Amino acid sequence: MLIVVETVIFVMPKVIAELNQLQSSLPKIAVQVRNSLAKVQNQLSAYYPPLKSKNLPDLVMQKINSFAASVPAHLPQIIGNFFNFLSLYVLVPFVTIALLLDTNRLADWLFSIIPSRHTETILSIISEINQVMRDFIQGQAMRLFWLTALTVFGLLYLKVDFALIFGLLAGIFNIIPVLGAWLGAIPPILMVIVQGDISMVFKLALLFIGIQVLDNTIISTYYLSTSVNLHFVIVLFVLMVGAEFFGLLGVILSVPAASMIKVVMGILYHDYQHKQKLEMPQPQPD
Amino acid sequence: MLNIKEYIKDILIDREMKQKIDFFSKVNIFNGLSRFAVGKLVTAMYSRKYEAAEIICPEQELGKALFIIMSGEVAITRQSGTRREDKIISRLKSGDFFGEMALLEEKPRSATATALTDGELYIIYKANFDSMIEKDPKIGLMVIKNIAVILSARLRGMINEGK
Repeated sequence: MLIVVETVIFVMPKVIAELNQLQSSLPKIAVQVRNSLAKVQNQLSAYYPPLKSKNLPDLVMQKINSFAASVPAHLPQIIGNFFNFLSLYVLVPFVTIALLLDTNRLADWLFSIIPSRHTETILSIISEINQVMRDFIQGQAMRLFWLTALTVFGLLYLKVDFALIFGLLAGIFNIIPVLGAWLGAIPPILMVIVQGDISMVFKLALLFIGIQVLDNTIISTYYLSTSVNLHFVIVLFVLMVGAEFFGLLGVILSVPAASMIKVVMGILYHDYQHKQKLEMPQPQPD
Repeated sequence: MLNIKEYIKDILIDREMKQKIDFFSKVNIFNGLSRFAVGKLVTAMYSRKYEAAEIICPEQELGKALFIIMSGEVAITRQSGTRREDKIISRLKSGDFFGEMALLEEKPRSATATALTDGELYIIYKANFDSMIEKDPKIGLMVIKNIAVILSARLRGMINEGK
């Protein structure tokens, strides 16, 4: 944990410096985007001549400029939306988890509604859920830390611009299981495409595939296998169900929720088996 | 005049926790443990209030926790004879505990515990105790040693009764 805190303190000034650099580089990036679009238009015009008459780069740049110009006017709305997003996808899960972790209150409430003879079963369920949530949060935090660190070091090694920002973005995207790793790869790959460095696209693809393989084989196995002891196919199924019913929130929370359901079912089944054994007729002596 | 020492004490010390540690330090099962260790155990406990005549844990149910009586009285009964009538084995009061064998293994309860009066019990779940042992083996060793002493005294008593 100390390593994580120290790294954050060390990295933050560099991230701010990169953000400033990104801001000052925006005009240059805009020119690169324009040139790339002109190239694409030239290549596509060979197959579809009517496209020649359209000024694709100007059209796209106009759209981008008009969007950029409208940002100050819509700033309150954008900030409002940002905080809505933050509260829905960050605060709600964290508050839910914090409430779940406040197991004494949860226990008091359950004790008040369930007959006293089931106290031990309730207690085992609460304690096991608490343990699963703690392991999941700790495991997920460590997993995200290592994935972010690996991505940042990889991008720095490949001398990709804004390595820290892209690395941190990739780390945040990794909160979304399975899909997150690929979403994190999109921004740096888009940037090197715009810069016209096609060989770097392959290098980046290799880097992200390598990190994904490391995540699947070592990092996730090490940090999450004990808490979210679910088969890969079940994780995928659960993610689809979560996304279908609750959107992004479902994608983030469905895996720990499934893990909790598994723990509860395990305890109830174990108790049921014990009751069945008690109800079985005892063999009579001859 | 404002007593600064007392004022700082008031801010820093959780009085409720202090009272709990005072109470649990006197419970036999925690003999030999430092106040800090008892405090750690207290944080792993849950409490539950019971009304008179409520069944706390029935005989033959899987035992998963140790119960410590904070207030009230509890009867430990066991079905015996051909009519399977409940026979009171012991009456427990504040500071006593039962279900200690559940901390060693998850097996069916050998007796029923019923609240005789309204009261409050503190409960330690076996898995929480196990994870505490893993993190702090010294605490676990001392508690298990105390349980062993209690069980051996009980066994000796049974042998003497049989003589």
